[in-house]
Amino acid sequence: MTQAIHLTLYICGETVRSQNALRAFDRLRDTVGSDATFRVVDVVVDPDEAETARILATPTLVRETPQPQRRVIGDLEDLDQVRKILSLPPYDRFTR
Amino acid sequence: MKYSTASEIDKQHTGIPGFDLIAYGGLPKGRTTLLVGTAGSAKTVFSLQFLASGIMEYNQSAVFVTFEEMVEDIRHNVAGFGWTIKEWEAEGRWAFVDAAPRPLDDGEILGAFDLGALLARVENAVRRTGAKRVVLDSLGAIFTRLGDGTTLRNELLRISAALKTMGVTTVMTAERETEDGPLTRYGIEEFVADNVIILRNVKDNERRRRTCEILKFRGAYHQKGEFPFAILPGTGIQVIPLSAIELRQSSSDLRIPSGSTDLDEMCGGGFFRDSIVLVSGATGTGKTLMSTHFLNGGLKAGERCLLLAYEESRQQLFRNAQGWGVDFESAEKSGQLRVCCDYPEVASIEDHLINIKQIISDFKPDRLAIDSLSAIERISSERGFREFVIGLTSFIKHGEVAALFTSNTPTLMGGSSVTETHISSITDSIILLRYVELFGEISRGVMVLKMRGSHHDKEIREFNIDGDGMHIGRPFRNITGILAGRPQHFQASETERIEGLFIEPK
Repeated sequence: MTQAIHLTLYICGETVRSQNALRAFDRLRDTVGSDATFRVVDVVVDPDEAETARILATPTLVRETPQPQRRVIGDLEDLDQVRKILSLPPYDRFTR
Repeated sequence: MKYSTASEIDKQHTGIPGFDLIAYGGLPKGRTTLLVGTAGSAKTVFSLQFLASGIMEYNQSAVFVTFEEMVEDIRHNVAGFGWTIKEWEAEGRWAFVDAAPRPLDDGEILGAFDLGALLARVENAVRRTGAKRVVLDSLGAIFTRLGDGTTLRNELLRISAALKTMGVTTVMTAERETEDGPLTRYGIEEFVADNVIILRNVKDNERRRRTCEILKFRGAYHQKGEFPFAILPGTGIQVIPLSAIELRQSSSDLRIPSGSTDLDEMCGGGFFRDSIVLVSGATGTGKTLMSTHFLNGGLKAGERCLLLAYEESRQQLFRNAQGWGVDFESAEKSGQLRVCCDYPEVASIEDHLINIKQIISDFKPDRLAIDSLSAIERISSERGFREFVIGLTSFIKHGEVAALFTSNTPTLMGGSSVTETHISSITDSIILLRYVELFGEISRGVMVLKMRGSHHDKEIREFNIDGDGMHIGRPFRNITGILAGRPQHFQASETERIEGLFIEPK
C-alpha cells in the first residue's frame, strides 16, 4: 500500500524568497490529493527543528513520506520540476 | 618586544601553546579568522584545540559547526588529546551544529536559496551555550554540495557578520589545493579575509614539516613568517615561536670545572656557568668521553646532570663510563643524573625539541650533554635543524644550564660538519678533536678553537685515553696542517735544534 504524502517546507523569516516558496507550496496543495499533509517551519522561530532535520539552506522542501525522504532546495520556481523530483502527481489541467 | 598601543584591537588568547606568542596575544577578538591549509595540514585539530582550550583554560563555551567530519568521529578522534567533548556537551558548554553530509540531506537545487537555516542553527547553538568561540570546519565542503559560489560567499559573509554582532571569535577553515597556489579553492578569502592563518605540511627531503604562518591580522600586530609546530599526543598542537625568543639571558662569569683539569687549564680555568660548548670531531676521537668527563665534573661538584644520548644505548654508555672510571649507574640511582636514550628516528625534530624542553623543565639540570647533535641532524632538513638548535640553545640559556653538545665530522681527517656551520655562532666555546697521522701512527689532538669572553690555549695538544679517561699532553711541535687534515712534519730550525740540545734531561 502507498503511504500518504507528507510535505514540510522550511523557510527563513519573511523574505521575498520565503514568500515565493510559500506561494509555490500553496499551488502544490491544489494538485496533491486531499489525504496529503502540509507543514511550514520557520527556522528563525524554530531552529531546533532545523537542527533535527539538519537543514542548511532555505527554502528547503522535504517530502517526509513516502519513504525514502527527498529534498528540493530553492524557491521552487519550476513546479513541474519539483513534482518530478519529489514524484508528486503531475498537474493535470483537465481534472481541475 | 611588545607591541601594544591603545588603538590595537583586543586579542582572544587561543590557549594553543606558542601560538599566542607569535600572534602577540591571540586571535582578533570578536572577528572571523580564516584558517587555510592543504589536506592533512591539521586545520581541524587547530580549530578544535582553539575551542577545547577555551573551555579548559578560559571557561568559554564553544560551538563547532562541522561540514565534513561526522560528529561521532570528532568526539572519538580527539579523545587522545584529552578533550572530553561528550562531558562538555552534557554540561552545556559545547555544542555541535551537525552539517556533515549524509545521503538524501541535500536535494536538487531549484531556484534561489540562502543559508538562513544554517545561520539560525548556529545562532541558536551560540545562545544556548553562551559560546564565545565558534568554528566552521571546513567551508570547502558546502561549496561542493551546494554549488552556487556567489550565493555561498555572500551567505558566509552574512554569517560572519552575524557572529560578530554576537561578540564571538570565529575560526573558519578552508582547504587549499597546493601549498603555493591561491589561498582557498573557492575564493572565500576575498570575503572573510580580515585575518588569515596558513597551516602548511611540506615535504622537505623525505620528511614532513608542519608550519604555521599568520598572513594577516587587520588592525593588529603579529609575528611574520612561518613557525614550525608539532602535534603531540595528549596535548595537541604546540607552536615553536623561534623569533619570539628574546636574547636577554643574563650572563655569568662564574667558572665551572669541565671535568678534566687539563682541559680546564686549556680553557683558562674551566667553562662558564651558562655557556654552551660544542665538541667536534671524527668518530672515535673521544667526544663521548669528553661528555662523560663533563657530566662527571658536574656530579663531583654536586650538580644535577642530564645526558641525552642519540647514538648509544644506556648499557653501552654506562659500560663505557665504567671503563673510564666514572660510575653513572649509582649517580642515576641517587637521582643526581638522568640519562635519556632514544633513536632520533622515533620522532620528528619538532617533537624532539618539545620533548627535550619538557625533560629539562621537569629535571631542572645544572648540566646537560647531548651526544650527538649530528644524530639529530640526520632526521631533519637543514632549516628544521637550524631552528631546532636555535630553539634549544635559547631555552637552555634561559634556564642557565651549562651544556655540551657533540658533533660528528664526516671525514676522519680534518674537515668540518654542517652541524658546525649552523651552530658555531650560537655556541660559546668550540673544542676540536682531531686525528693526527704522523709516520704511520695515529694520535689524537685537542684544541680550543673559540672561547667567548676568556683567554684560552691556542695550541693543538696531544691527548691520550686510558682507564682514567682523557689525559692532555704536550702541544704538537714541528707539525702543520692538523686542522686541514694534512699534517706535515717539518725540520726544526737550527737554532731551535741547538736550544733543545742544552735542555737538561729530567
